[in-house]
Amino acid sequence: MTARSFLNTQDKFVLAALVLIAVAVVVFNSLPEGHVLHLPTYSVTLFGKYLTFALLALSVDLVWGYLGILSLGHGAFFALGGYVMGMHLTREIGDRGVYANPVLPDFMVFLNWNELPWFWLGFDQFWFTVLMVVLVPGLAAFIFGWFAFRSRVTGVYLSIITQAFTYALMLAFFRNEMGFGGNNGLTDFKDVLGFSLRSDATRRGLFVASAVALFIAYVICRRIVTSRLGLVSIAIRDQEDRVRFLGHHVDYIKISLFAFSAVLAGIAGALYVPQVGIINPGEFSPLNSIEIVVWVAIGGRATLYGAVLGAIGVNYAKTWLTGAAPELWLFALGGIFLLVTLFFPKGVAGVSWPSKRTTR
Amino acid sequence: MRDIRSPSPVADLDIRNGTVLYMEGVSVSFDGYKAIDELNFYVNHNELRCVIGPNGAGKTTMMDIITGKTRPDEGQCWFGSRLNLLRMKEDEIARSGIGRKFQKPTVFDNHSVFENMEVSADGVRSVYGLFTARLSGEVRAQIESTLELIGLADESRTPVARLSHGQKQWLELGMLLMQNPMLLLIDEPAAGMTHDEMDRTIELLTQLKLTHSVVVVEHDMDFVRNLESPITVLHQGSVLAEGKMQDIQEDPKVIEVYLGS
Repeated sequence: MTARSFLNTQDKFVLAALVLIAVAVVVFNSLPEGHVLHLPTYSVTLFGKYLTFALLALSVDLVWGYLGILSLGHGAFFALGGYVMGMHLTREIGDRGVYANPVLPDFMVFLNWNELPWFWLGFDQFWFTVLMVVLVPGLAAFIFGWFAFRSRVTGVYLSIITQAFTYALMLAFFRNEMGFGGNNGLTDFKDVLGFSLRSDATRRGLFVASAVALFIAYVICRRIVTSRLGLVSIAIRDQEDRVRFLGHHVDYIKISLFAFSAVLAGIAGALYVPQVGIINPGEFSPLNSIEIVVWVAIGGRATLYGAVLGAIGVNYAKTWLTGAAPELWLFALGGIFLLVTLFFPKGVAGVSWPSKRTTR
Repeated sequence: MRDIRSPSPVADLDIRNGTVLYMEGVSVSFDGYKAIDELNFYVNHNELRCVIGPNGAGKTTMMDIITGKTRPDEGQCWFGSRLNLLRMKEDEIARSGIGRKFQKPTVFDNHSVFENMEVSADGVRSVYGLFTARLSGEVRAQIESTLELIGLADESRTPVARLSHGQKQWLELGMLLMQNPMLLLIDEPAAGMTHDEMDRTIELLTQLKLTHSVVVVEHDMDFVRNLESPITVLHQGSVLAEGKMQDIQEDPKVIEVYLGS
């Protein structure tokens, strides 16, 4: 009968800020070098990287904050999306590699491989890559969820399995025989869609793409958590068994939202890789996945904007502190996490705004 | 009192011979302890049945078996004459028309009263359907009339965490009604209720039996007496006696294990 109030005040604030910052970054970067307000391109890329992390944090908040699935392996979906994009960028290098082989990537020539493995076929096409960016993490999460959620694995046990999942993938991707460049990963990318990755305009383009992806994903996530599906998923978070006795397909809801969340993480990874210029198995490290959860916890769980603010804030602090005193960073991160958990259990989002209901 | 919506049974439910629930020869044991022992239990259409028995008699385990939470070691359990409950999962059983209220009121604390009712509403169950579901006038009207019925109309927007124990019991009953079930299993509805609330619960359950089949498990003997319905006494996992309150009270076996002590 009535439409739900869909975007709340904080959402509008965060989305407006995102648009403003995106426009400002592009404008200031376009000013001629030497201008007082000129923003160097490496900052544009840095901001772009933060936005992909924000998208990643958003995907974790959707399943952790609103469905109660504490995934300690979401970095895996980010890395899978990143590898898919990395494969496309590698194919785009063409004969400009060290060995000038028009088809085979450098590492395959180095390993004396004679032809492209079947799973590398199609990645020279951008449309195929985009499809795979969605399908690979989505299917991986679907299969994982199919077994885990239908067997009713929950809580700490589930978290440990997600952790094992990303760790296993890391070990697999470290092997040269896997065909993804071993521990060096994929790098030395030249261009994307024909635009040089070194040009300022391409960098701005990737930044804007990240901002647009975050904007759209945010709106969709908010739409989900304010729908009846959102009501049911919060109910699952709070009393999973009760929801079953109401006749809801708890397993399907968990599998669907987990897979959707993995797709968002994969898109974030696909946008991250061209900006940082490399993807290697280290992205599957369990530590990365734990860090994502820390961003969300610091920002404030089950708010969506908390995840975005947490990811950007913590990574900004990381950039600054790893420059100023690199050995202190992990202590600082641990310290912030402890302080926030002890004194602001609802995260930064719970402090700056008076505690409001988060469901609608 | 206001009208309660009649249940909308699923197509497979066959209750033409008047029996809604059959349990025959059901046994289940946990670590060698026989919680249910060769239990036979039948519920008729439009019947209100009370189940009493001392602690450990198997009352809650019986409900667990009917709703799919526990699988028996042996025996049969049918909903109508065509739905084999032992082959169905909890959510399938719920969708087929068996609603359950738990002993400890189990409601969603982070939702408002209204939202609790909406989550329970019969109908949309597919993931995408839930995503696009709009609150139809029909569902809203059913929520509002049910809230009236359970006396929570003024608390519609109240977060459930702020309700009293008795109000939560009522809310869970309301959520049960929103599922439009054919058979209601109600575990200790009177716990934590004031006398006034108990009287209203009795009134509600008596009215429910006109359109539904209801099984009530209860400890409070005054409450059971006032329901004026057939009673099944469980003891050590099987039926000790069945009949009217008067007969039960005079049954020497019952006096020995339960009422007399």
